[in-house]
Amino acid sequence: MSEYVLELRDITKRFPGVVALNHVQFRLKKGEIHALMGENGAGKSTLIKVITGVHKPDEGQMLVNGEEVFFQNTNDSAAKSIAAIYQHSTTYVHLSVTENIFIGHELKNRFGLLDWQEMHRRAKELLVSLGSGIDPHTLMGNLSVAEQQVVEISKAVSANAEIVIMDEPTAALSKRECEELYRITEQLRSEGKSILFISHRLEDMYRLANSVTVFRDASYIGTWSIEEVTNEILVQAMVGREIKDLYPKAKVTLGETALEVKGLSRTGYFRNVSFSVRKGEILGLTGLVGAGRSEVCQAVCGLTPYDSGEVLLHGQSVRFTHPAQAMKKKLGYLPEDRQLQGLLLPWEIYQNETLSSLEKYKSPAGINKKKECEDGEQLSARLSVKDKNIFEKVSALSGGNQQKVVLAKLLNMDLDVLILDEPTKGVDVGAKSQIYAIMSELAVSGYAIVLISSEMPEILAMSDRIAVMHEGTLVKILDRQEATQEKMLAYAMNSADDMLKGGD
Amino acid sequence: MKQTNDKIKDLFSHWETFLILIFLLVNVINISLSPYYLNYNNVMNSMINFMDKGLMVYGTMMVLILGEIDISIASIITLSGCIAGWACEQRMPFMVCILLALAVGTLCGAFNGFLLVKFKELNSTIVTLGTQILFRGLAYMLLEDESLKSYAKQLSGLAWDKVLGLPVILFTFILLTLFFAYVIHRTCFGRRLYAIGTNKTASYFSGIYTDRIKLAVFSVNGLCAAFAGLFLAAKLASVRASIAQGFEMEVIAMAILGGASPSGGKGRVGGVILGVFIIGLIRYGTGLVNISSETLKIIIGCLLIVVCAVPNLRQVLADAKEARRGRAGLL
Amino acid sequence: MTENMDKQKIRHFLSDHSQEAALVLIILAVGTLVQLRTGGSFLTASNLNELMREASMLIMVSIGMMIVIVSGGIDLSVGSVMGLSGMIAALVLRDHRQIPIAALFLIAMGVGLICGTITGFVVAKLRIFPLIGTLGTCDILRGVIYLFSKGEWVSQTDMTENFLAISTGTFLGINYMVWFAVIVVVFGFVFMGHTRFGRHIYAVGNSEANARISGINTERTKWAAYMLSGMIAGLAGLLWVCKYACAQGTSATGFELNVIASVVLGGVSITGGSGTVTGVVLGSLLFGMLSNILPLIQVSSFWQRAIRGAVILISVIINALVSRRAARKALERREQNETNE
Repeated sequence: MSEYVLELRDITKRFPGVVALNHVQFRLKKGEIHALMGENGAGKSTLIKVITGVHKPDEGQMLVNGEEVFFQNTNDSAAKSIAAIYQHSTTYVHLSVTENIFIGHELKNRFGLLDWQEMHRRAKELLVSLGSGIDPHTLMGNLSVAEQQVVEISKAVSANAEIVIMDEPTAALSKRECEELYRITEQLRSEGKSILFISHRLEDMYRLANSVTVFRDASYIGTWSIEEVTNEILVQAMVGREIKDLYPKAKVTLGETALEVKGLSRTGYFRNVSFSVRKGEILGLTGLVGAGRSEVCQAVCGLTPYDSGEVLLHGQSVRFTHPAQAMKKKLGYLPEDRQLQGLLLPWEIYQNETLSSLEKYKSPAGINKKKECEDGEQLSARLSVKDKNIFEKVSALSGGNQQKVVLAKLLNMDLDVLILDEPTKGVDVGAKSQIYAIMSELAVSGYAIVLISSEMPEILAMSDRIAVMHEGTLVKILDRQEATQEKMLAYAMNSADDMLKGGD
Repeated sequence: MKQTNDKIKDLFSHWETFLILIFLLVNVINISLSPYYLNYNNVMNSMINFMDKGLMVYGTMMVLILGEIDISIASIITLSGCIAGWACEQRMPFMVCILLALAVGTLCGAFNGFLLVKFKELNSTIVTLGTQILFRGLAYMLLEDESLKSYAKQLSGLAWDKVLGLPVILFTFILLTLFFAYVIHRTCFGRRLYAIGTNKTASYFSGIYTDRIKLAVFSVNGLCAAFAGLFLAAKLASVRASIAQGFEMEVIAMAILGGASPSGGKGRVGGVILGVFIIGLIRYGTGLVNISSETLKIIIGCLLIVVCAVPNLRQVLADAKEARRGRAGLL
Repeated sequence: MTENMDKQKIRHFLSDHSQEAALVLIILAVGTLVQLRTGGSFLTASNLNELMREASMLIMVSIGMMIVIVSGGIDLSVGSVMGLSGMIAALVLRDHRQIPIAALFLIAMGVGLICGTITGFVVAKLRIFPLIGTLGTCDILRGVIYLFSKGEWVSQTDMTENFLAISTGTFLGINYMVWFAVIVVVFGFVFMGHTRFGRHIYAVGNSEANARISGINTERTKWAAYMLSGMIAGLAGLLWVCKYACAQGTSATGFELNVIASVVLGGVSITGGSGTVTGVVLGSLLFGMLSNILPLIQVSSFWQRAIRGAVILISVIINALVSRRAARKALERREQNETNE
């Protein structure tokens, strides 16, 4: 019997155009909570998918209890008592809580039919044992995100999982809900289960983990026990270079107010949000996932409706009901999910870049393709998109270069206010620093920029001011000088008062 | 050397190349089956027989490019044809009858589009299924089981006259082809159609008025169907509420065979022209050798399924291989 | 205390089954209205018998269609499957008059099963868009009917007394056809609600990707849904021939549209993943009633088609509005919870 319940040796996984895991190691002991950390795109999610059998590794070995395994699908990993709780919850909204817990391993009575009574009873029991009062008859779609997560954990427990993997479980939770989750996780550990906990929040790790492993750029960096690890070690390991080099923030004299948002509200999404951004300024907008950052900005740009409040663009009151109207008034939005919202993946690079500004190329003989290509060439060169030529399909590009194409689409329009939603999510470090350079350059040339991001170092380094949101409200706007990671996190979790009092 | 190889590969990976081969094959088979196949007059008459569906194909093609589907077109043909006949019966001026029919067709299409835009929860499958029944139902309400003939004299020109030596309907098809080829492949509107079909969300985020375009495309589709309805009415010389049953399948088959796909963002006018002629000539050829219309249904149905399956085949085969490897226990 | 509990339970039950409750109310209201309007010619034994015989086929096939729609598909070929299975059974009966009735059932259901297997293959395995794939098989099967029948009819004189008795005979005072419908409904109820496979169909319709992660074989699940639907349509096809004492090439043409109308009327989500057998039964009953009462209240038969189309559209629109309202309510609840915190 091996010391480790789960061991990965030299695992490599490639996708077309990217290496998602590059000869990585990972070892999980019995009865420990092991945190796996790293920035977005470091390969954490891919690792989980390899462990659960969703993806097959191209190279390397995987051992469960010292025995080599080859998983073909999730059934195989479930048979080895591995269960995963994914970042994007894998629930069935039209089905009841009980069913969500028992799907795939339903209980049957002696007639071979489903034993609903027993399943409801056990579901109730499981939920109670985790300290939750959810009624197992409720439809999954009627639960909050946090409650759904508790159900997902019950599902793992009901499958007798010995190894439980949690992918960013705290990302969308309030502070109280996080505490609840910590409690449940510790309870599982005390029952002898091994837990792989993925998060990019330092707090989660200090609170829970016995040891921590860091990935960066698809590679394994190192493993530390919780006693020996420090903030410096971790940040160094995760970021991998001096912060100064990564973030080329230029000094800009700020102009007049370009965009002002006053008391914007939308039932169920955000309440009474106000902020403003000036020409040449970069306003950081941060908060936990689900705090309503994207929702506010999408409402400002006319992508979604809002109930009350006012938006001023260059002092003029506007209300957009379609993004095209916002673009006409020189306000552009770079969406968070570039593959779903930003790009036409099967299309060529230049066609993506000109999609929002097709009117420019209009002529009686149809779209002026020559001019289109010229502009495409120019944009790609300006943003240093690494491509064979502009006729390459966007789907063949790496994440960073795809993001540059989306950015090029915005720059090809005549805009002066940009809202960038997680512009460096899933982008490798090299491209990241290029994107920061472009942002900085744009600010110098007079663009007003709102930067939405969950990455604290990025927000701290690039923003002139930082607005922090918590559960749909904007709780604080910090100046560049006074902002620290701890303060931002405290406001984001809405615990600033007690923490700052206690801390000082 | 390598480059020419690539070029040949490229040529064969084009759907249109494949279509030309099918087109030739159909012709070879037809010629060998019947000595009357290549008769000029026969060919021209056959055009009159299948071109009414050809007139609708571009509307359907645009709907498919958007990633939607419209199975109500056959009912729109019927309704607008019946309206034209009914209006003539009421002694309305001839032009008014025609315009009324076209307007009703456009409105029907717009109604489809309106429901889809207003109720985003609904998909085009269920909406056009409902309107398919509704529109034909309206035709039944209007005509009951009567059949109308009084319009026939004035309209018959559409079916039997010639322009520049070509049947009017073929001439119209050529004009429509030129028009739609320009709109679909050259204009901003066309580019946006493909964008929406490729990724609706990204198109919306890029500032494309997706709702307006959807409404416009469905309306144009209705107009095309009404147009075809007039030609069909002219050819049949009498209208009743049961005409044009099942037309939608043949039109959709033509468009899909031509390279359009219900998953959206695909298809070119060139391919669709070939699609129209392949299915039309199959119809013509089988008619010459007395194959029943029921057998023809089987042939076209199978063709539709095979054509839809071909683009998926690579994936299906890859998955099957994967599954086999899985069973063998890997390595 | 317990009374309170009971009240709460009843409230829960009603809010969980609001759609079914609404349908029951509508059925009762329409029934009463028509009864009053027609001076009592609706609720007569003979009319109800006719209504139930007609509705029983609709209910059966709707259960099959519901299984397909819950799995995320749609099956436009059921009308043709009914026509084909009925025709083949009738041809066999014509040529072998001694054949036991049970064998005819086996033949009809077997034909339906084969058709369903083919449709399932086209949709699940070849991954063709369900609407287009089944539009194709619909026409193909219609053509196949003519290949078998060579365009001929099988009329009453070719059928045996025993056979025709299926649609007229009774057991415990209730028509055989209704009994068949009851069997199918009970099967549907148990299968969709109480078997692992049935619940997996819901899971696949909810989210195919998640179902795959849960280890469900999504391809096989979808395929099976079409097979079941085909088999039930095969059974209904035989009953159709019995009821109308005739099998012809156009039998049951367009029946799939009535079926789809009943299913959406019963509150099944057209995008898959939700719907109950009870709802579908009530939806089919209501739809069957509509067809039955229109002649009674002197609505021209030429209006029926348009009304049918309108019923489909209106019921899907109402479904959409109801779910919108539910979503808005959930948001308001969330907002309240947050402000309370």
